[in-house]
Amino acid sequence: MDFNLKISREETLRIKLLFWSLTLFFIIRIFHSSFELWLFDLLHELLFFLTVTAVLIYSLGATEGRKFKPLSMVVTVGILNLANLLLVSYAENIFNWLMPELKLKISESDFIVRLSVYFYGLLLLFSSAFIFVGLRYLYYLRQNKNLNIYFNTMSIFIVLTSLTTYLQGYNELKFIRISLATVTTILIIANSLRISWIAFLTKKEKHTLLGLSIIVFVFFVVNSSYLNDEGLFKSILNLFSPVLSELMNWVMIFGALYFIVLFFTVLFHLPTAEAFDRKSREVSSLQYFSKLITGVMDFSELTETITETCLKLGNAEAAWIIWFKDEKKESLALNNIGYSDADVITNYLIDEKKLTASISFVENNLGELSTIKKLSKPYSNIGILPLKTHKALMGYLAIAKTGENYFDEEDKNAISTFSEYASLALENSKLFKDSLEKERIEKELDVAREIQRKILPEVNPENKLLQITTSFIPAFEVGGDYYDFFELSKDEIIVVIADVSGKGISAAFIMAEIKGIFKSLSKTIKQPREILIRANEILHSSLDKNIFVSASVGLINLKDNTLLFSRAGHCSLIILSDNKANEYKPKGMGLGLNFSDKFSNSLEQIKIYLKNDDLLVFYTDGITEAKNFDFDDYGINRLKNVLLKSSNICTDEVSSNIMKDIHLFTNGQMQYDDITLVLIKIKNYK
Amino acid sequence: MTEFSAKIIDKKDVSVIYLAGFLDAHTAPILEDAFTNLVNDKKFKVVVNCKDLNYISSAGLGVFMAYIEKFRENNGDIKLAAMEDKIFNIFDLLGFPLLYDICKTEEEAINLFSENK
Repeated sequence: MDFNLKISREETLRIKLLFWSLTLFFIIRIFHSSFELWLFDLLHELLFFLTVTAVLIYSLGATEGRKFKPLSMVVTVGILNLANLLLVSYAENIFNWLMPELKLKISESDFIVRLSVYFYGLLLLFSSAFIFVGLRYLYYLRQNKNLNIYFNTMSIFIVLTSLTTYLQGYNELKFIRISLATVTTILIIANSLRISWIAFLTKKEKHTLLGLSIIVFVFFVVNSSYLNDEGLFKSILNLFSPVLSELMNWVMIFGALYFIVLFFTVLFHLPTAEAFDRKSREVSSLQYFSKLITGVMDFSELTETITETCLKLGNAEAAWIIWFKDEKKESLALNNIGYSDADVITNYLIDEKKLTASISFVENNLGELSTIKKLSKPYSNIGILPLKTHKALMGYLAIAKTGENYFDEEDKNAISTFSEYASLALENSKLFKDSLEKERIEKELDVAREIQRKILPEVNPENKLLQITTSFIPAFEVGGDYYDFFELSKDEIIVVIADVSGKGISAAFIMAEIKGIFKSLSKTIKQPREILIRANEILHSSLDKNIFVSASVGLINLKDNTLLFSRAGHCSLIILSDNKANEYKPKGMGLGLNFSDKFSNSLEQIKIYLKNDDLLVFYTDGITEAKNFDFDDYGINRLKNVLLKSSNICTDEVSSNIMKDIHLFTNGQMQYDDITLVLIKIKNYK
Repeated sequence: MTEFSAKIIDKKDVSVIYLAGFLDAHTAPILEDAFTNLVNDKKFKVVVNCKDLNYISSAGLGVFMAYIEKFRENNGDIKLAAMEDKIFNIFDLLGFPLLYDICKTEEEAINLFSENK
């Protein structure tokens, strides 16, 4: 079997030792008293001690390194004692029943008698060895000092005293036995006081131990008295080895003393058991909780733990959290109470205005509520504690007791202290969640910015007849601005500028779609109005109802110096010509607002004749709606004014003037939307 | 930044939503909730009074786009009224006047409902 393979080398060694000593002892027992030789007697006694040692070593090995509950060890000692008692007290009956003629044969010591005496003695040896080891286990329990020397001294003296059995009959040496017995008794009494482990038992365990210890004590006493009884049993035992009964007797005395001390100590511990219990529970729950604060950050797990700990700390029937969420109050982390019951109580507390932002524990009597509302348990007293940070009240901790149970000072103090920890932990968890969310949004915005950067043209078209400058300043939240150029031929170029409603990654995706649509449409259609109508149709299937796109499309023809221009809800076009800023705003609604004829019917296309040095200004509302701290708009007039001041300079400089002016206006106010500016100057000197 | 609010007051069979403040992506859900409540209450005749509306972003405009069909399907409408010039320009630039009744006053907008009967 599996565990057989796991037997360690030491254990095999112990079993081997036991086996060989038992065998050797068996052999010598069988032939014992066949030869009346003193050497043979000596060998027998030596082997007896070897067997005792082997049995002890074996039973020690069986308990070593293992953890037993103190109470189960006490029960084990008790059971072994009972077994021992039965073996001892029924010895006469058993042997009479098995071999009625034993009494007569005892002196004859035939083979059968020797065999049965051997096994009977061995049984007693084993049971007392295990009792001894059990006592030793209890003795060492929860001891932080090294007690080896005390226990070992006692053991040695027990053996020495037992050995004096051999001196019986030498009256002049009796003093040795008496003095050794005295020392042993003193050592046993001293060692019986090692019972500090009972302090760590709970109140319930102490009650059990009180009963158990007195029973086990009686067993030990009865055992001991039987051992001192002269009778068939004693003669059988003496036949096996006179030393054994002596050894057993001392073990029984030690056991009896140990357990009577145990009994009285537990008795005196009982009145304080409850307080001790409570303190240890508090300490362990707080320890557990503080571990949790630093470890688990999950909100629901945390709230569950809070109510669970609260239940233990307050000796309460039920606990839950009343949590504020969007100005509503909801019951969270219900522990040992149903949702309906918790809601009834919560609502009662709200209706009666019992939820106040008081700092400490407030106890509320529910009166007849539980009978009126037919609650599943007779909740009577509710403790309320605020959960708050330095800023705001997050909610309340509610703890309920039933019937005539009230919250005492201990309960209140423990829970009040705990609620402060709990508030802290909840705030930490919230902050952690917020920062995760923030991080996620920032990541998302990074992606959106990256998409936008890739969608916008990397370089402007190189055309000798045009001077082009583009400026793009993204807003933190990615506004969805888009511009592009499509060169149809040497003389024809399409300019597109658009603004997707909404922000962030969703806007960025629509931009990508818009780019694809315009890119493909501009290859086949040379009318801005048609391009916009087709784009609106295509977008019908992909745009959400609340999303729309404003766009302007212009087709510059350098052969005849004209501009075909159409505007779908986008900002007007400004053309700076002869030191005049002309605004062009043909009719047209935004893409995605309407998918019927209304869209195409509304859409106009105008043709503008261009002269050399005319400056076309395409822009998005990020410029006209740029805000200062008074929340005024930058507006189109400021833009026009800058343009009028920069008639005879290159587009790069015009652009930088406009940006400087906007910067001056906003004066550090946050930029809410993307800013896009496309400047195209006609340089058609053919 | 000023806060945003949307208060509903019923005037006979027309519900008037009074907007105030700054309507953008962050405050748009407040207006969405107002419209959802009206749909749930089966009040489909709505006038939105924009007298105290200081700013509207594209996300704010999107809210009207999202709900208009629902109201018109149920023989109702969303009519806009009393907006400042600055706000009107934003609506106008996008072509909203082609799709929505935008009136100078709230009464005018309410009356439009009875005229169309």
